[in-house]
Amino acid sequence: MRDAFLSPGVAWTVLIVFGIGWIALGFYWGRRAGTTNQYLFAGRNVGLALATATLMATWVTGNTVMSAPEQAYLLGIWGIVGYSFAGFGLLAFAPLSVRIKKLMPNGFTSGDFVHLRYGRWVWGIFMVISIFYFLGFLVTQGMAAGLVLQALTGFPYQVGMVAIVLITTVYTLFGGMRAVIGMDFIQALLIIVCLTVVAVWAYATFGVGEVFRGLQENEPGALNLLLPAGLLFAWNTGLFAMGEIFHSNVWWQRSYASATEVNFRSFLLSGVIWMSVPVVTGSIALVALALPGRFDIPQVNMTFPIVAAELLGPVGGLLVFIVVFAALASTLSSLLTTSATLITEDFYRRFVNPAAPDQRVRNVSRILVAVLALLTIAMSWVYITSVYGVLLLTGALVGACVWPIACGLYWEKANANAAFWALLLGSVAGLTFYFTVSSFAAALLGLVVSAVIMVGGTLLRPQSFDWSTLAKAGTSARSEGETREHVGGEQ
Amino acid sequence: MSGFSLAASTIAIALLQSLEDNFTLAVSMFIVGFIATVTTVIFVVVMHLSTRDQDVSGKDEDQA
Repeated sequence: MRDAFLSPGVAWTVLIVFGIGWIALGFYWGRRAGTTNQYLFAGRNVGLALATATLMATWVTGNTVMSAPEQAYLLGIWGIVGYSFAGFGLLAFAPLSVRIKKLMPNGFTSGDFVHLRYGRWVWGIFMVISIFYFLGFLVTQGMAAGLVLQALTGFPYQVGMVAIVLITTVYTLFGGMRAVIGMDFIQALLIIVCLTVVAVWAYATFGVGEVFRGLQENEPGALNLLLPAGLLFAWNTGLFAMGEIFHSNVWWQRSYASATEVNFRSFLLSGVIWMSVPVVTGSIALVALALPGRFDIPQVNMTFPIVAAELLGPVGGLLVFIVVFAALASTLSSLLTTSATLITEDFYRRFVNPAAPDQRVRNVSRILVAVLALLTIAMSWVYITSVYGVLLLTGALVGACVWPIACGLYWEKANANAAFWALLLGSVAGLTFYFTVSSFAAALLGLVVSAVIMVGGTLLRPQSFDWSTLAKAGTSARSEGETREHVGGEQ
Repeated sequence: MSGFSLAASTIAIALLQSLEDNFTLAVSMFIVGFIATVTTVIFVVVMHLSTRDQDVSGKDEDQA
C-alpha cells in the first residue's frame, strides 16, 4: 500500500483546526437564527456575493473533485468537456429561480410546489425520486470523504468519513442555513484559490506542450473527439445536472433564501465559475495519462488527489486536502439541511402536525439533520468501488423531472396526469437504458421520454391553473386554521 | 402486462442491447442530447422572457 501524502500529525492538525473553526463559526452565525425563517432560509434576503458563493460551493461536490478527473482519465477530452456541461444545470435554473421566488415568496420546498401545482399523486412519485436522489447523493459524499482522507492522510476509511460528516453536522445543526451559507462563502474561496495554485503549479512543472505530446504518443484515444463512450457521456452530464438542480430542494431552498433581485445573477455567475472547476481537476488527470508509469493509481476516482500530491509534494497534498474537505463539507451541509427541510415540511407538517409552532419546526428539522447524518454514516460504512456509478443511477430518475417542473412553473395549461406519467415512464425508460445499454445516457433518455409525454399530454388535454394557488405555499396551503408564526415573524 | 406490450418491451430491450458499444448509437445519442439540451434551454428562456414581459405590461397598466 502506498504511503500517505500527509503525515498523521499534519492531517490531524488541519482537521482539528478547520473542524473547530467551522463549528465555532456555526455557533456564532446560529445565534441570530432565532426563527424558522432565519434557521431554514437565512432571512430570505441573501445578497449576491453570498448567494453566488453558496451555489458554487454546493455544486462543487466530492464528485467534482474525484469523478471529473476519473472521467477525464477514462474518456480523455470528452470527460473534461462533458463534466463541465454540468454547469448548464445552474445556468438553466437561473430563470426558474426568479419564477419560483415570484410565485411562492413564502415557499418552503420543491415538494410544496409539486403538491400545489399537480396534486398528491404527482407529489408522491416526486418525493420518492427526491428521497432516492438525496440519499444517493449523501452516500457518495460520505464515501468520497472516507476515500480521499484515506489516500491523503492514511486515516482508516471509516475514520475520515465519520470525521467529515460529524464536523459538518455539528455546524449545520446549530447554525442552520445561515451557517451553511456563511461557511459556503469561505469554502468557495478556499476551493478557488487552492485549485488555481494546484493547476498553475502542475502545468508550470510539465508544460502544456509536454502533456499534449505525451498524450499523442501514449494515449491518443484521450484526444479522440469521436470516442463512442465520450459521445454518449457528452450531453448526458448537462441534462443530468438539469434534472438534479430542477428537482432538488437544495436549489429551491436557495431560491427562497436569496433576495429577489439577485436570484438570476447568482445562478448565472455560479454556473460560469463552477464550469472552471472540472476543467482544472480533469486536466490534472490528463497529466497522469500523458506520463504513464509515473503515477501509481490503484483506483481511477483517486486520480486527482494522487497526481496533485505526487506532483506537488506535501504542500500539494495539503492543498488537495483543503479543497476536498471544503467541497465535501459545503455539499454535505447543504444536503443535510435541505433534505431535513423537505421531510419536515412535506411529511411532518403535511401529515403529523400541520399547526406546529415555530420552535417545534426548528427542533424537528434539527433532529432530522442528525438522523440523516447518522444514516449517511451507516450507508457509507462499506465502500462501493465506483462512486459515480451510484450517482448516475439516480440520473435516470431526476432527468424525468426536468420538463414536468419547467412546464409546471411556466405553462398554465400543464396537465397533471401528463406530469405523473412523464415522471413514471421517464424514470422507467432511463432505468431500463441504464441497466441494458449504458449508464452514461440514462438521464438523457429519461428526460426525452418525459418531455414527449409532458408536452404531448398537455397539448392533447390542456388544463387550466390559477397561479395564485402557489402563493399559498408556506402560508395556508395545508389545512384551514393552520398557523404559521414564522412567516414574516421577524420583520 | 398484455402479450403485445410484453413482446414490444422484449423487442425494444433486445434492440437496445444490440446497439451497445455501437458508434452509431453513440452519435445518435450525442445528437439527441444536443437537441434535448438546446430545446430545454430555449423553452426555459422563451417562457422566462414571456412571463417577464407580462409582468412589465401588467405594471404599466397598473400605473396608467
